Amino acid sequence: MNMSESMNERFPTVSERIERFLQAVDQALTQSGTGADERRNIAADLRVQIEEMLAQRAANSGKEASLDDVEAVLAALDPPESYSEAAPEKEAENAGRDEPARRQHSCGRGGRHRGGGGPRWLWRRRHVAHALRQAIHSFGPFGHPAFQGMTDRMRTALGLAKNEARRLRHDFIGTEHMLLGLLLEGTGIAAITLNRLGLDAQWARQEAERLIPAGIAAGISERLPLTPRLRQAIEDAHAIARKLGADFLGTEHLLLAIIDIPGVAAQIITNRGLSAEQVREETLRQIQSASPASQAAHGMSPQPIPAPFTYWPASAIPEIKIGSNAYKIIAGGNDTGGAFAAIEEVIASPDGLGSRVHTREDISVHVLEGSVRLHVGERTVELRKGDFSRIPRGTPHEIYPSDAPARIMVLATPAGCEKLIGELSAASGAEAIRQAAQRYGVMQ
Amino acid sequence: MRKGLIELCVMAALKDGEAYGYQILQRLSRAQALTISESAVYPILARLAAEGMVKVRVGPSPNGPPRRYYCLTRAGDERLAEMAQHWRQTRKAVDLFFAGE
Repeated sequence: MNMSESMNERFPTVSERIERFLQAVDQALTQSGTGADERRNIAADLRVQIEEMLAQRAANSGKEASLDDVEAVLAALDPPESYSEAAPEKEAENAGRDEPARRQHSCGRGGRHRGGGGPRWLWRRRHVAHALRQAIHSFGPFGHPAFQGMTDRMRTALGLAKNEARRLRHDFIGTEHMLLGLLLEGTGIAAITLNRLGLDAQWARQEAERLIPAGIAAGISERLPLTPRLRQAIEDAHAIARKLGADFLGTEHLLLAIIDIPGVAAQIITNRGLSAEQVREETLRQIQSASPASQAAHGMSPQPIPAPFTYWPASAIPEIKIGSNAYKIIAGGNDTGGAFAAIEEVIASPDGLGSRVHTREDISVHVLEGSVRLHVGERTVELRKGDFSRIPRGTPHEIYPSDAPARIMVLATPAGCEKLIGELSAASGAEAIRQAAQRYGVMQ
Repeated sequence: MRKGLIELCVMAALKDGEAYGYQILQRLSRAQALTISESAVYPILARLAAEGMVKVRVGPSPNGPPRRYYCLTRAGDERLAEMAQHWRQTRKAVDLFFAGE
């Protein structure tokens, strides 16, 4: 059975998945005594946010939003149960009650009123304890130190891991769910590394289901505990991140940790014919090649290593042919401390450079000879010799030669995507090309 | 306490004109210390609307369902001024308290 069929049984369509999420939010709000008008308002605002996040994701990938996109978006949001927590702070002022009583009370519209009773320190202490418990048991607030410093991608992966546990009706989150989460997240270094080594989400899913048959956890528990092994992996990942000099916890660090934990994830990786050592080497290689582009993607300013004074003659620059187009990497990230890459391109193919989005770098184009047609969104611009254009990252564009062959100078800031050119010249087959491009954040 | 602060911030985000929910969230999420997320912001917006502090206008969106723009009503303006005043006093008091230590 292929993946989409097995998913379709449970989540028929993208919009149905969104509706399901909104219903869960609605339920949580109802429980905390929120009125119907307000619930409608909240759902409408949330729906706009989900659709816009989804549209953004689709724009980045150039494809229609898939169910996996929806899962990734929903995983990045506050979980539905956090909406029923909207009241406790106000409720807590009606202190001195025990847990079940509080729950009963919260069914009414008690949340708003500020009643007296009970010493303040008491509710405060209860409230703090309650908040701590929630931070530890759910992924929502990420208040626990183990969850701090996680990159957005890491959080998304964790949310997806939780989804996988639910989908398999397991009442825990283990290393196998985490591995699936890392794979399904799709854009982090962990996913890139594993895909490159030939381990994809679909295969891992099947293997996970084979190793750990679907559970019978009735209903959907909102709070899924982490297994001791996964907890250990997250702790180790923090240590690894520190050792690598990172001040964040990324998917790459968790992958490096998980391969050394004797759990189901490691088993899945082994069953794919991969050794921990292979995964470690490839991960470290990907960390190297992603930096500083990945740092920029994490929202951190790249810290260019000061490049020494540099000089080389034209004869030192090799030409790389891809189809009938030719590329010269005048200067790459290694030469510029990662600040920029300068690439000279001769476009002879009538298909130009194809349609693409660079998600990690801004692209500046300066025409040296001939002329090109540049399509950006609805606009088409003719760039002649000497003309200049800048295409901000995330903007879909196409470049065709209108007077072939055209020779252009491309500046990519920061550097990173120039490495793709070397890989593309070696890649064969549309799928290999697409995957290579994706690794460099170039979506076609 | 934190909830009140978020309410203040939500209203302050509308001080200079209308904005839709996700936009307000994006503005507020820049203040990282407050860790403001949608499960806090949207319920507050809905309540402010129910209390007549903000009003809603529906406008088109380039991608997705129509956006719902919020703006402060006159009562909202007054409430914001009051809350801002109260906040300044509280902050001053707390600062003094720390300075005295």
